[in-house]
Amino acid sequence: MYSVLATLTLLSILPFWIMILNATRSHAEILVSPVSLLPGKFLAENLARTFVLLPLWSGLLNSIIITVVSTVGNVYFGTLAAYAFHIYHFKFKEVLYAIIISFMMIPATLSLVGLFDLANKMNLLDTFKILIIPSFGVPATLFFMRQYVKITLPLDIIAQGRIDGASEIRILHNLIFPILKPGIVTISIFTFVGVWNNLLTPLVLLFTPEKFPITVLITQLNSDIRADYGLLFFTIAFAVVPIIVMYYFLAKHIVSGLTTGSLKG
Amino acid sequence: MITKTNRWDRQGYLLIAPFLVIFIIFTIYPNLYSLYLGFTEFNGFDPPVFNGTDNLQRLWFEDRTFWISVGNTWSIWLVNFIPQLGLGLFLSYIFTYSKVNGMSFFRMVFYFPNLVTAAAMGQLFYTFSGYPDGLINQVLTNIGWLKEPYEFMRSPLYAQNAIAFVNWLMWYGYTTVILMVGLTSIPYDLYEAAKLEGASNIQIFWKITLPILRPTLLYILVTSLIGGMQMFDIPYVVGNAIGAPGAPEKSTLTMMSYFQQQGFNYSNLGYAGAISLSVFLMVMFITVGIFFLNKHSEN
Repeated sequence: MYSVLATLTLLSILPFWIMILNATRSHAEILVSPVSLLPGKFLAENLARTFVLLPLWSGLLNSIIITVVSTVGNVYFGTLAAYAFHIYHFKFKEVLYAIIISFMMIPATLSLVGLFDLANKMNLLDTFKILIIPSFGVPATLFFMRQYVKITLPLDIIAQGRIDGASEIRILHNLIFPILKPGIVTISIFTFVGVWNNLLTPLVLLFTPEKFPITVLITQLNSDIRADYGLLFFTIAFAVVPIIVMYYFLAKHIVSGLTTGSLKG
Repeated sequence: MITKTNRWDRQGYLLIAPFLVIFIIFTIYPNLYSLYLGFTEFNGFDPPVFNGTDNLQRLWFEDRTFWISVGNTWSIWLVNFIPQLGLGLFLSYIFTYSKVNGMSFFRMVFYFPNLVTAAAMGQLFYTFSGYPDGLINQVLTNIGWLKEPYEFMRSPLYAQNAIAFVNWLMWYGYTTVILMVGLTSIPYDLYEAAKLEGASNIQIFWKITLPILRPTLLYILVTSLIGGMQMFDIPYVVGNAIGAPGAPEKSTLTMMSYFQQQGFNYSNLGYAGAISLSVFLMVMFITVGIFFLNKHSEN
């Protein structure tokens, strides 16, 4: 049994280990021995040469901007709506909710053609706006947060806030958000990863290479880069290392989020 | 205790409005419009021309490439999913029921590939499979399994299964974690009672564990299917690297690859709309079918 576990561990780590090591070696070195135990000394040179060929820095920046803004908006507006669905009553509330949630089952790619045309008409093609704004109204986030609110929210706090005369919005921000923090953290992480790794949407909606996020850049490896293994591995590593770093800090949250989140799944 | 408010407070509207407005404009409208565009001829800039079911007819009855892409998508998904589920069951079982040293370490390691950008994984493994001096070729020739380097990525069989392999690597950890949640909800007394009655381990697995895991298994099946049918990133990267979408020999063309090629390389947006509509219909029918079968066999 442990041999199975060990093999799986190797499969899940070794490719990335090799990737990182090879990013620091030169093409010649890699040809001689594809795997090595020690890092090479070519990191700086690989970096310099790759940046001339691909706008990697702007790619990283673009990814960060798009992903962070999308995640913040997604979680914020989703939580607002989830809270409102939970606390208030109005006619057709559940019908509306059911309609929104039913869209979760629709493959995301169905709307791409329509979204492309909409972006075109709104003059938003090739902008970040068209990538970011749609994520402010995502059913999955609403679903998750409404479940979470249902489970964790003590109604007395709201009542207390009302008695004290605070407006609904102040109640929400000052009292409720802190309580919802663990759920917010969880859904933020998953939204973040999802947006960061999204390829098809930015590929379709963006045209200027300087605006491409890293996911799209990684598909544009031209023959110059492919000719040199050092550059090639460096480029791929550049895309993967941010994720490794993030995982290092957030692994516990991610796994625990999966387990609690799917209790309702 | 004061319960939820019964009045429709104006500020409540304020809270839902942003979400709802954005949802309507950027999700409901594009979905409906995409559906409509599937029945038009549209290149993205001139106004769409309604052409009835022409697109669908051509797609379903005359387009060999489409059906090749359907077959590719299915075979890649199946080769990925079945081992994924099997391994997930095995791992979740031993993690839940036997004492494994370093379980949480293993879990974190196994889940990691799920987070990596699929396109990057695709590039990485494509690089490993390089000819003549990719990692795999170098290692295999050095240890003598190959006499000379082999052009792996030119082989449709290899390409398809390499894609399936990468997908498997990316998702087995996720599947394991989800299954563990399901398993840990099974009360241990059930097992003890069964053991007392003399049930064997296998009987316990089939008659107790699996039935209780049903909802979890269903969830995994449906989400994997929906995702699998839309697989794009890795096939796209592989095809691009070789130089033609779907290379080698169209074996890596998935439905979504075909969609992207038709809609955005060839500007046949109406036709692409028909493709995504077909994918949607396929997914819907199969999902409904699965739920239906599930209800039935619950007796």
